[in-house]
Amino acid sequence: MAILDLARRVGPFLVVFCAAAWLWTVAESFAISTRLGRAGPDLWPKIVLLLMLGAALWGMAEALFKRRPETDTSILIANATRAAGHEEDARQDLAADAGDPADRRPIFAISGMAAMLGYVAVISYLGYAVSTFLLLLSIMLLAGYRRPFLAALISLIGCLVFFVVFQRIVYISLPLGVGPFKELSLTLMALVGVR
Amino acid sequence: MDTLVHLLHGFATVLQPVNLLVLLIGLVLGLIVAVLPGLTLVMGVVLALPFTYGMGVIPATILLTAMYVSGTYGGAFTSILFRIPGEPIDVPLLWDGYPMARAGEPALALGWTLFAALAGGLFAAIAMVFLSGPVAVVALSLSTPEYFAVIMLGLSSVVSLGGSSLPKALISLSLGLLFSSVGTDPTYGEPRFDFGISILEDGIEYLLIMVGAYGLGEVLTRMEQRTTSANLTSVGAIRTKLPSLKQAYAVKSSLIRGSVVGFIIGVIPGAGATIASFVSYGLESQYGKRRRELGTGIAEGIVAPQSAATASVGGAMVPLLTMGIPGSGATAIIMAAFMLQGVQPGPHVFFKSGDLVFAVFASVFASVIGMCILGYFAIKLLVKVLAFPEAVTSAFVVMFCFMGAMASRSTSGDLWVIVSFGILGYLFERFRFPIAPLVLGAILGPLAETSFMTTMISFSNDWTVFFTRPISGAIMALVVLALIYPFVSEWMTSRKRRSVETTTT
Repeated sequence: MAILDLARRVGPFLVVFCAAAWLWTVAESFAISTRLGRAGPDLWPKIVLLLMLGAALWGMAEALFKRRPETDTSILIANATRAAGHEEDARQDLAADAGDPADRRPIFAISGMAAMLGYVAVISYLGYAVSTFLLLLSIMLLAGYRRPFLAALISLIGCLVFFVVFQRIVYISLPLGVGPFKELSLTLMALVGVR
Repeated sequence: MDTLVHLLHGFATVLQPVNLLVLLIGLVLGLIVAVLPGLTLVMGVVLALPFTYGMGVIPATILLTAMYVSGTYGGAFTSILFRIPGEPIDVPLLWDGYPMARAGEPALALGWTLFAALAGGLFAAIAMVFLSGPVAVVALSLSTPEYFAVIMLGLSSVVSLGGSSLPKALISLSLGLLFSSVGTDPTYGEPRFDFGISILEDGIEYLLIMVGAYGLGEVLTRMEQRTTSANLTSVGAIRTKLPSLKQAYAVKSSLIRGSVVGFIIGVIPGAGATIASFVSYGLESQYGKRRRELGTGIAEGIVAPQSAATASVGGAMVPLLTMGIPGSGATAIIMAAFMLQGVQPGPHVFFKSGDLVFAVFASVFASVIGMCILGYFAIKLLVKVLAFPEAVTSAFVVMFCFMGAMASRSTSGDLWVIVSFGILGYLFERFRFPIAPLVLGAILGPLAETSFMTTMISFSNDWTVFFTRPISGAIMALVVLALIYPFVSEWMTSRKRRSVETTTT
């Protein structure tokens, strides 16, 4: 358990450190680079990467050796609430919106990511209308909406409204899809008066 | 006198029918996003950004400014009536606004909020108009080393004031700066970090970073938290009762203190409406006439945070319009709206495009007045928004985010990019990395790099120039001070705590 906790605290910094070190090697391979007395296109990214490497090391050291409980509030807010005697109230009220950490269900966030990635992957095959309907419905259900038929109706109306907005107001060409989905998209376009 | 004439021209622009309609839409949207569960003020402004593509620069900035102003006020209704803060800005209102409502005076509590928002907002708008000119004159005299130092000051204060962990804020900032360096280098034309992927060759649009990290990231976080819509308890007839002139006069010190503090905090990059609201309440507890009664439901406890929150908007507009330095998430998005229209805010725009700048100024005045009128008459409808199912809001937020990506360059590659930043935004929330430095780094990165490289080329690659020139050296010293401030503050607090513990034992 202690190892898991340590990994959770140090892990993000370690990932950032490794990524920054790898990107440094990428910056080393730019065709034009910084030579003595001349700043090249790699100089600025390298300065930023140095900052990132330093911050990651610092973060790792803090995670390993400093046992201070971490809060999300700014130092100015912490000072002001302490002065007002509302330190604990502020901590609770600011955290209230996020709910109880024990009630968190990462599976729903991961499913949400999958739905979004799936949407981008299939939009060119299913077309805008069908894939948007599916995305709206899946996000509503994953976010805890418990009335599936109403969710389906809202998704249908929503995707049609977005379709009309894109086609008739902002004039953006949308993916039509392939096969029967293309036929469906063309029918919808005809219905909203787009040739 | 010139300033007043320009301001009158600005009002004439804002009062044109189309601009007035856009202002009204912005005010309503701002009030709704401040109340609606699952939407934050910054997220709301981000989602509105893609809709500004087809507008001119003036209506675009009027829309976003109106949203920003009214977003600092809308959440007060639900904080006072139901003890549900729409935004972190509204948390201090829970401590006196809600008790006043519970004591049978909900209408008066709402009236104090309206009074404070109106007075604080108008004070800051006036200060913004008269301070911007001199600041722009100073900004105009800055050369590239000084400009780079100013950008560094903005970024360092965002890092230092944004959250509790400095390393996390620095990582967030450096990621933003790094994302902005992807694509072709502006000085040498060298491709950087594109890995042969065509969508990265033109660089990563800051719009995709903003919309992805703030919009999709927040939706994913809320899905994980399994938050549900609030059950609203009845509080009787919902209306607003304005305080009498005598009552208002009695809280003048709190109002002046709150407005001045809010404006100053707004000017400081990184410290926006939320910090203004908390700091003003903290100061009231130290220097207020009725400081011992704070927390029991007194007017001063409402006036101090609300006037500061609304006044911070006028303050935040000063560095944005005079130097092109956005100090917060919301002003970064307003800056993005300028840039999408091909306008780079800064001293040159301030003096050459006075019509635009004074239209923005006038829109702040009009927004403050408009939001109070709307808040007074439409409060019943606005409060009902709170019961809207969050799951439905989340689904539509996702679609608005994708709409923003599609409307940007209309390429499917942008959809992959926006989802990637959505996942990054979620990971940031999960591991408690602040998002604001990432977004500000992405938007200010190109400016920072260009001014840095121009300085290096102009001064024969002598990097010490940033520290040896008097003005840039002084600003760089402030950068260092901003970065060490959290340590000094923490050290002083722990010292004070230790001395209290020693005294009690």
